[in-house]
Amino acid sequence: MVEAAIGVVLVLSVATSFALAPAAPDETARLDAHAADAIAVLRADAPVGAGATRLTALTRSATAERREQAPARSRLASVLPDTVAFRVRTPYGSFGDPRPPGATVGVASATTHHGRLTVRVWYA
Amino acid sequence: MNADCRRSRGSVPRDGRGQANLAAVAASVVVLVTVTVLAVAIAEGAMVDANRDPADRRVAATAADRLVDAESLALREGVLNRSAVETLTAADVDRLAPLTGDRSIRVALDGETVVERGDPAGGVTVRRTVLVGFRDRRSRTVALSEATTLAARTDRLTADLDPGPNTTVEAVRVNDRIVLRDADGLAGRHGVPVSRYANATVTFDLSGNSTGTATLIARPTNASGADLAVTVGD
Repeated sequence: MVEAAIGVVLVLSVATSFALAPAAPDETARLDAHAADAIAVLRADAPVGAGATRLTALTRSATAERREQAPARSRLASVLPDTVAFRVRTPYGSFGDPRPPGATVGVASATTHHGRLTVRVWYA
Repeated sequence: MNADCRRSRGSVPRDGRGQANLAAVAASVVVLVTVTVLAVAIAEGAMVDANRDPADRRVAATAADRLVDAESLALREGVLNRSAVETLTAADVDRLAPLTGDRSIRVALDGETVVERGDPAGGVTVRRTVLVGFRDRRSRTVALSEATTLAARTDRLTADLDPGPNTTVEAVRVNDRIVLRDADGLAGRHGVPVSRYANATVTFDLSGNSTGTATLIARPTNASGADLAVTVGD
């Protein structure tokens, strides 16, 4: 009977690995797409001041980033769906909604020749 | 050599343990088979869960990607042409994303259906945020003698030059660079090459008098956010 018990434990352990397999990463994929779309918006928009795009202006210098923050924030808030909140991290700081702990987050980032910008989005 | 060893060398156990082992083996086999069947059932369930509509989701995601990046729908990079999207047909979607060929599909912009073929009610919906817009037309008449900075960036600018008597427009400059030049004088309508990646200030090089006007017609894009939903069913 001991052998049978060991066998049962073995088979059950394999079965648990199926049962505990992570759920399909559906939500993350959707959020990642929203974050990528947010980057696309920053790339398509013209900045308030100088610079080729809002994306380059946000990464160019601390001054340019400060000038661009408010318009970028209101633009992203109006463009992204109402149920999606976001936070943008630039080389000089970050702006957007405060990120709640434990939320499932979608990420996208873009690199310009000044630095890297990362957008995180989650369902509010 | 101890007693146990000696006994195990005998061919027939005298205490009947052979029969007891047979019952245990039978019970073990039953338990093990039951558990194995259960485990396979659980694994099957996990597989079915993981495979829920993956084809639909992939096709919908790909179709949405292609629509967002489609050059034929773009007003400029990253901005879709609203009228092109609103006049989209199922054949256009098939051409952009051939995988949708034999499936029911619905494309909606801001909740308004623009393409529908079949009934994809039970299908998977992929939502993307896109910029859609149209080309504005901003016309402005300025004196040739003054510098003009365009209010919005654009890559399409037309100048209608109307120099006054005895005034020659030798060149048109954008941000101090000569973009149009004719020593004998420019007049009439000309396309002015400008970049949409920089603010443009237009100035004119004049000789003789400095009278006359120019009408600058800019066509900046006006882009706002929209929700593009692609639903794909069987």
